[in-house]
Amino acid sequence: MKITIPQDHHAFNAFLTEERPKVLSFLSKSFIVDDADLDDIFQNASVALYLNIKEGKLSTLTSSLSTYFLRVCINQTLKFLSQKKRTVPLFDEATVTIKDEFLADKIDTLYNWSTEDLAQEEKSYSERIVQAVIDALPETCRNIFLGYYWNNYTTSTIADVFGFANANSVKTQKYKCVSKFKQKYQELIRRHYE
Amino acid sequence: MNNTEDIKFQEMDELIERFLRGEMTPEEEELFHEELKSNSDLREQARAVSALLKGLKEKESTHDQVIINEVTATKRPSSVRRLALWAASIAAVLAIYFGYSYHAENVRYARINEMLTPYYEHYDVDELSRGDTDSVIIAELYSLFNRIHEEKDMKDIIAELESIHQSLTDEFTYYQYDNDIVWNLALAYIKDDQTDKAIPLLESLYQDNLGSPIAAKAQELLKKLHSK
Repeated sequence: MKITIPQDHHAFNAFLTEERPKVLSFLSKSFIVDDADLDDIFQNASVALYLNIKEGKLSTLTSSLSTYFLRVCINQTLKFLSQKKRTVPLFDEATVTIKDEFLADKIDTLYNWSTEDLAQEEKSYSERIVQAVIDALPETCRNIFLGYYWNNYTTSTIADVFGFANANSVKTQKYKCVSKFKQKYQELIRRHYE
Repeated sequence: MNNTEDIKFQEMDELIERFLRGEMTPEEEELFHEELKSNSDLREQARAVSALLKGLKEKESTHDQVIINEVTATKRPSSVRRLALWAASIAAVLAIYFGYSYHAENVRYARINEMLTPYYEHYDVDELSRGDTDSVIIAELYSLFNRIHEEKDMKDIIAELESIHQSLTDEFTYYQYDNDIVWNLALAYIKDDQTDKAIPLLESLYQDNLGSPIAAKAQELLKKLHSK
């Protein structure tokens, strides 16, 4: 029986729409598969993700949903190549994400350490404006931040997913984007307390 | 920023990331904590990076959970499932009627979004550096504008923009952005199927800014709305 994803799952379908260009960009650069087959692979991976969620396999998700889905797409591609009896490349999944994640408790600890000198009101204000600064950054920076800090992708994966020239250009751009975030973040705090 | 400073900040970044990934020994962490207390550059960098990570994780983990909950929410225990099957069979005729309405709404939304796509703009935080009196409020305004493109439900966005629009006559915080506020409120109304509220806003934008790019955009969009 063919499984279809219900159309009224708006958030899930919006997620797939958003992930599609990124995933196809990555797969087309990592594997030799034509566009029509990539469409089938994406569709199969979407259904696989849907079923995994329904079966409760993501109740203890340790990565981001995007990272998990990318891995599902990679596995579907390898399965496809194997079924077509094509040469299945030795794909090292360790090249997709960085081995050690950013740990939630370390993030909280570092934030508390680095704001020890702030008054509580200033600390609360600083937390309130973060999202506004992130939302107003250029798309390039938001993509790099999501790819690097949330999805834990390697810089070469970010290059393939988001269409940067190479890993080095991602590193350079990441540095500039963090500087831009810091500059605007500090500027807003300074202006508020002037 | 010169090369020496670039290297200094990259070294600080690497140190901060080693800590955040749990790659330091307890002794290294202690030294790092002490360094944060005495080195203001390192402390500011650490504050910005950890705030960025906290903000990203908070927003994105909520976003992921909404998606997962939407799919898992359809699961029901077996006795309720039997009752649901019985109710579904009785409601079949009503489902055809409401299904048509639901489909019609999806078609309407897709059509409106396609029409509005050339008119969405991305508002960049770089514009805040031109010396605004209260940049955080403007950053939040930009975030609101960007959400019109990104989100489907316009109710909260419209409520906030209407409040800001009403304040334009007697407050100066937003006066430099009055055209953007009117324009984006009109887009939000159109997206929310309130074209009757959008048209007067677009007409006033056109009349008040004759000869300018915003007037041309307003006129173009008005023509499309009138031809629907």
